[in-house]
Amino acid sequence: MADWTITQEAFDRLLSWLDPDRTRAGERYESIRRKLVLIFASRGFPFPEDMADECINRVIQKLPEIMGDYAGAPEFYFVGVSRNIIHEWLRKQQPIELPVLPPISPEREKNLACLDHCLAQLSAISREIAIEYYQHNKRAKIDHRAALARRLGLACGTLRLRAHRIRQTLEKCVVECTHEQAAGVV
Amino acid sequence: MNDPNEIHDYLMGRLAPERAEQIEQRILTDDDFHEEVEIMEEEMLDRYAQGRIPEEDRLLFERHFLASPLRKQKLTFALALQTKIDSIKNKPAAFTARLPALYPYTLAACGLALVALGFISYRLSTQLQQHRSQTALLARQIEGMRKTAATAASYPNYPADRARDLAFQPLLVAKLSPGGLRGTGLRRISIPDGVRAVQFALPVPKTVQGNLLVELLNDSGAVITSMHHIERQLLGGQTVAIVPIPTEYMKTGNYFLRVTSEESPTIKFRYPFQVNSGASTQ
Repeated sequence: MADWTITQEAFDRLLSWLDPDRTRAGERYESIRRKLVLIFASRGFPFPEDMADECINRVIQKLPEIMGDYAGAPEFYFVGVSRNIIHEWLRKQQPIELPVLPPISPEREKNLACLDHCLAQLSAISREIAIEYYQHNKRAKIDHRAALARRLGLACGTLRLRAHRIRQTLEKCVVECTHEQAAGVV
Repeated sequence: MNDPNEIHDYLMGRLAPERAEQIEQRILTDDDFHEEVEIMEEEMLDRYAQGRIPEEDRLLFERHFLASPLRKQKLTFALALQTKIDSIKNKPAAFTARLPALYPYTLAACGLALVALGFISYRLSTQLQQHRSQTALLARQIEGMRKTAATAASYPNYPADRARDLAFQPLLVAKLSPGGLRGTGLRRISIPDGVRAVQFALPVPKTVQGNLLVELLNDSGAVITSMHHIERQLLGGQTVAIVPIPTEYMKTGNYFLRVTSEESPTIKFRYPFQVNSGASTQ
């Protein structure tokens, strides 16, 4: 592939292809990137975020050729490009796959401090869900979640999604907090 | 239809490629399904953090599911959340018994003593819980390493004794930048005890053609080890060479990786870095 860098104009072209409304286009872009990261991580690749950016770069590069005739949701085009990237990586992968064991990290203490900090920033109801939803195992967990849903007046499926979104907010906050700590901001 | 078992197998890398591609298409085009997969991802991380991954799945989970630093970051969060939940669960219940009518001073003294006891009990239970979590994680890691050792000899195209050694080695991932003067602007890599292999990502200009020779050199310019026929890969808009190097070659000190085009040996790039071996943090 020839040397190529993204220009603001090329990026704007991608956003307008995703949605004429700039805000919605930005949200759709973030959603697509998150999905790509999940896909590449799920294939066991070591750099899923970089691979997602590579996929987006290739789509941006192709856009002037395809956007006039392309019909259908842009996500389908990303599907094709992501497959190409996966196949390229699988072809080139090293013969040995090194096993990965998570090191016990002293960062965990920092994470706990950040978790307290981020929990305190949630609303009382979100904090309760974040702590209560993930308690217990097996049968006790199911019963506990059903009781929590009843107490909050929510359907079990709604509570499940809400807990997931709160967890994502919390995780994002903890990651930012630990990065700030490492940079000496906090 | 969302089959949780199939989503689980997809995340573990156990699905046939054709089915995995169908799932990936759905992830990209169906927001609800995408959230289902993310929820399963969280549940798997929680199960691992609680030590509830079946033994037969542990090796695959650690090698495949946790292959990226991103997933390890998610695991760190899951462990922190689990510790927090455990510490809350172990908090002593509020003192609600009705107190008999006692003299005010006696009542105050009892109250203070109870508060102090409650505080001590809470601190002890929290510490105990943290120690238990830490011990459980250590035990799981030792067991994982033992199992890895037992199967590592089956790695294809790799000498059995080296594979067995590498099987014990957790992997650290590091991206380096080319250039830099000796002693200035060095990328520092802290290698904790027990982590004995580093996977380097080395960006090279897109104009460089063919496979690459990658050499590890010490600060005096002596070649320590070399790897031939390394293929270039595209990553985040950059062309990179990915090379795993056992840390037995990198004690504390300054090093650089030298990348040479095998087609045009005059084209060379240097990637200086500094190793702090046996450090407790990355």
